[in-house]
Amino acid sequence: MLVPGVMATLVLLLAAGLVAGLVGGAAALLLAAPQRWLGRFLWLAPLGAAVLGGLVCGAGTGGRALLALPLGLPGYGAVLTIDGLAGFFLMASGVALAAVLRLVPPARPAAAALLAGFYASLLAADGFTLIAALAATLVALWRLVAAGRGTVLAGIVGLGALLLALARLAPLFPDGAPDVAFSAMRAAPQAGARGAAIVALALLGAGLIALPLLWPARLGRRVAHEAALIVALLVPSGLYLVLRFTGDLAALGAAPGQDVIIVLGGAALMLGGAREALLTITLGRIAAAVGVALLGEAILACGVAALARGADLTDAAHAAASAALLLVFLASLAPVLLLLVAAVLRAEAGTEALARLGGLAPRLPFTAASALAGASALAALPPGPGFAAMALLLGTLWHLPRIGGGAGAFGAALLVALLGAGLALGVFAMLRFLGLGFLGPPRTPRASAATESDRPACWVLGGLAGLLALAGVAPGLILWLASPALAVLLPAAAAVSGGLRPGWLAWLAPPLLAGLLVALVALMQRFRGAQADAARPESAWQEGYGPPPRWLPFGDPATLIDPACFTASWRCAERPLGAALARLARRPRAAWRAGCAAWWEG
Amino acid sequence: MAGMVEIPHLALMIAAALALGVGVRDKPGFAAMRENFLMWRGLWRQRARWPAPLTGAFWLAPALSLASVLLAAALTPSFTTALPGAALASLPLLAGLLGLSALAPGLALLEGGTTAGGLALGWRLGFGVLATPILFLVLWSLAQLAGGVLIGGISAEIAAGAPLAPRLLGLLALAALARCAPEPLPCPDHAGRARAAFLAAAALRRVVLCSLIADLFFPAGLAGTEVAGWGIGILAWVIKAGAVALAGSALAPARPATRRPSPTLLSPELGAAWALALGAALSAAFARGAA
Repeated sequence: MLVPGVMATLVLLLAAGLVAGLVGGAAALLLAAPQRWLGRFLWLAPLGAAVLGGLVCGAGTGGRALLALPLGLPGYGAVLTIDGLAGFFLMASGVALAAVLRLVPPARPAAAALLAGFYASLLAADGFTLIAALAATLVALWRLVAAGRGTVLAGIVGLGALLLALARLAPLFPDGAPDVAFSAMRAAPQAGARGAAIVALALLGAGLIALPLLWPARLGRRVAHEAALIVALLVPSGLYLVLRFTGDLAALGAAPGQDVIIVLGGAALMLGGAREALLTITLGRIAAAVGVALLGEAILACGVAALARGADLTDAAHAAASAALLLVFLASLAPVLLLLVAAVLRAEAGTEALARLGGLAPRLPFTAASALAGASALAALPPGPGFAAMALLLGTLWHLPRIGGGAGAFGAALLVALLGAGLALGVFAMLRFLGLGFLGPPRTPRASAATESDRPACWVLGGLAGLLALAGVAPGLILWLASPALAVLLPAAAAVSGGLRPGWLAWLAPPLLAGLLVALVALMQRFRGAQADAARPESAWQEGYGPPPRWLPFGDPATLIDPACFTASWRCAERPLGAALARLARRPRAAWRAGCAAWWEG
Repeated sequence: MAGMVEIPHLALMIAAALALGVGVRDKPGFAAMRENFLMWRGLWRQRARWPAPLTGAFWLAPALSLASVLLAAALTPSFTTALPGAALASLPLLAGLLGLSALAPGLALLEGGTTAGGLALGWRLGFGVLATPILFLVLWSLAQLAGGVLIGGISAEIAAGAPLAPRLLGLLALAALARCAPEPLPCPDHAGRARAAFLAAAALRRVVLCSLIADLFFPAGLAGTEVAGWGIGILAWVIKAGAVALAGSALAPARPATRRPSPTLLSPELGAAWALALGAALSAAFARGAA
């Protein structure tokens, strides 16, 4: 076993080598000949980064070695380091990026520059390096995916907002120049309105950088592989910026007001994303909406951690920050997996539209199981990974009304209600996606003739799905790997309790429950009894319809379930709900009388 | 040895579910129980049909529904809080297991793929989106009163004396919700033991819900580790859970579904449940702030 300090240095040198290799690779790609060869093996770089991140997280020895590079602005050499937070994001994002690059080898050198910029932004330990690396990443991404002018403008404004946040964070040297090293910013935490402004600027910057490209209506129109690359890069980037600025540099919960800003932003993203996933009808758009909803859930959990940390509720802050990091892992993997599933379906069943799929589970069992694993990240039902994160978060919420008196209690109650609605929307959306896409009879000839994808695609999908299933069955492992990142977010708690490794309940309970559930289901399968016949019982009068005629071999469309009719009752409820709320706000007494009259009329 | 109490506890729960079954409304007393017994026996002996084009989800759904509600039943205290899984029995986990059990028939409906099944499932899921916040608020108010989410802790805290207003408002919110809640999902295509599993899961879900409401709102008589209190605990559980079940079935005939098909998910009862749940949550927060 190496001495931790030596190991950290070694890891840091390796990481710097990785970044340097990627920059060199991009240059080589520009020069020409070995372009195809490098493009084919580029996926090994993010996989290596993921292994590296896993090593840092497992050893728990990040952030002790700084690597000062002789590059950068005059007087400001770039500084790199791997702390726990960077290691966790290296691990979570690396797997998804490797999966995407493995399935679709990039044809352009910008892909290598993209990776170099992204990893430099994760390893950056000073403000200028962070901004420069982010700018390089974004320029490469915009070039790769041919982003529009509005997206580029929003990204530039977002970078400006981050720069402003850094300017407010940085303490001054005696000569008046700002000290942009992260360590100096941490040593001088900003309180009051200044801290809240920093958090608002950081959220604005991360949102402007990530959301224009992640917006489901736009992302759903892209080719699924391209969309997967965007999601694999921008979801971890956005979350890293939020956690680095609000959780580390601005000290989680240090300034009053910052927590409310984070919670509001996260709740809006979660509800909007889940609603979009419920109402939209193409697979790509649903996957993009899942990404936005999980991003929102992670930011919301971070906000709850800030609320609890601000009130010195250490245990609650610990649990909420753990939930946030678990959700970071899920948000990095699940939407990418769903987009890759959409790509497989586009290739094998010829479409991504839910109305034209159906009955794919027996024809594409591997893809269906992967879709189930991806969907279980948003549908918070046991024994899925989303449930583990939500159970952690829900276990902390009863602490909240201690904060802020009457307004605080009302806000906390509203937060609980919104969280319930968001979780139910997520379950609804994912059940609809799985049921319409993979269960039931096939609705088109093409869907009925679909076959399983080729072996590399199955391996990649299976790997991502296996990691998500692992996060559901053994969240203790992910939380164990997240504990160095947790120590970055909650340094005081780490110092007091001497480490933030998960308790025995997190290790034992989820595998026990999942095992019992599987054992019971298997036992019942044994007792399910003999089958009488193998033919589908076609009664003459099914639900008011006669049997379909011979010239409709896929059933009468009027009798088949439709994605739009499935959500009809919800769409009918949304509009009067909005109207009723508006009426209640405008004329409360009249609304009360109308409600009473409706009650008594029955 | 501590684990042995799980056996009588689960046996009681399952026996109550089988005895209540589905026909309790049609006939009174022992006639209903006899009819239930005949129904279970008939379903157990009936040879099941496997419709050929359907996948394993069709068969997995009843097993998943029953297995998850069995786990929930094993964690929900009936007559004693000294169950082996007491450290796991938290409100989020029970809500998740009961939700999984209630939604599993939806997999079978989606596997059928008919318009009527889709509309029925969509109606219930849409109602779930509007009703889940109410349940969360009520459970959250209880968690605030007790300072934790474990069932045993909440029962002990409420038995020791907790403010009345949040508990009453929460109970009224649940009553309003029971009045407008739809029927459980139908399972039209299943026969034999699969149908028996669906019906048993629905009955056991009702027993678990009644026990949970009895534990959380009326914890009097709930025994601890000492064996001497178990007799009284069983008697108290039968009375409390039976009263909750009777109250629930008294509210049921007033459901909109039995009066006329509702064109929308929204109803005055749902609005009342929202207001009452918000009131319960706020009064619990203020009571805690005052204490």
